Amino acid sequence: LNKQQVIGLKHFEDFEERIPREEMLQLQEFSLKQIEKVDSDYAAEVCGSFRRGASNSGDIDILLTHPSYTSDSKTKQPKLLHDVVRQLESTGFVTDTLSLGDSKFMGVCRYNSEHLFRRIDIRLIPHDQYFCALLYFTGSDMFNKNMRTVALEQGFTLNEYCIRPVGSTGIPGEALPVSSEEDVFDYVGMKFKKPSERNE
Amino acid sequence: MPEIKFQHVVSFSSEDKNFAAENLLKGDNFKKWKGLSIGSKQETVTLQLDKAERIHQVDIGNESSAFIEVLVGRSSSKEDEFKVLLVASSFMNPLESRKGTNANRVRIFSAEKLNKSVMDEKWDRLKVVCTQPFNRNVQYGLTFIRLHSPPSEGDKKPASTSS
Repeated sequence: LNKQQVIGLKHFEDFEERIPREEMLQLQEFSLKQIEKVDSDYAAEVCGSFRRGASNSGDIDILLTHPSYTSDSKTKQPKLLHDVVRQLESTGFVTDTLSLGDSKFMGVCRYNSEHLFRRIDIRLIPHDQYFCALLYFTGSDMFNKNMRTVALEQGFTLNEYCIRPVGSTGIPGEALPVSSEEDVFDYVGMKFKKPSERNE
Repeated sequence: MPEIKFQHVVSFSSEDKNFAAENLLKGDNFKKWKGLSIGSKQETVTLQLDKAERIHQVDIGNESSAFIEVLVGRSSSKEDEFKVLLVASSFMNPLESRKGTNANRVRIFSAEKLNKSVMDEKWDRLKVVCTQPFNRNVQYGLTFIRLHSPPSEGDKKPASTSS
């Protein structure tokens, strides 16, 4: 068995359990507070069905960004992710690491000894791609699919990284500036929908 | 980087008589080309260059367009055989478009912003495609467009290798 499989087996029963919203809120408050402690310039958000208001979740999925890291940056900045992971480990919140790359952490966390072990993912996103990523990782899948269809009808191509106008020969144009989720809705001519309104 | 001269207007989607496409032939008169109709889906203009040249920089002055795309072709090719030199690029966001603010933004696209394989070949025709999906109550087009050929060491190379 490799390391990941050992960790997976150790927490097999815990990982089968859904996380009640109440606990998700505790996990969110704790992890965002720790991230802010490392550097208050970080922006972070717990996405997935939790952000849409779901009453329980399968895991906790955090998007992380920092203004010093953009898609134009000449180098990746793994330190921005690793500093956060180290901080969460030092408090005992993160208990195991399944994988840690330059931009994605997968691991295990626990709110305290009275709670179950939970799966946690943290993704570091370039600052200019943060809101397209937030939109994408908030879902729902069906909502994303519908929004992409609307975007195409309006002459734009939309994915988890960016929104681009489609040129006269079908070649996508430059990534458009996006500084909020609202901006993306505005480009494609849709009325803004709050996360809780994106369940289908 | 020497500026590339235009010869004549080959074609255009439409033009406001007061802002004719011919205005674009002289890069520095700032007299603008605007499409005639309000709320059209796109406006295009095709210009003939003096001779086939490589294009290493494009300067664009906007007139109310949201997006501008630049394609190149050859007069010997068929009408619609154009290659994208500069992908559709943003000049006004939705809010600016609705309010009519920053309608004359200027952007300089140097070599690293242009399509590399297209940039390495010579072309004698330029097609500009403007769109404005965010405001259907405005005439739009270009204030100017200027093309630059590669820096002069490219021109010297053949001479220096001949010995």
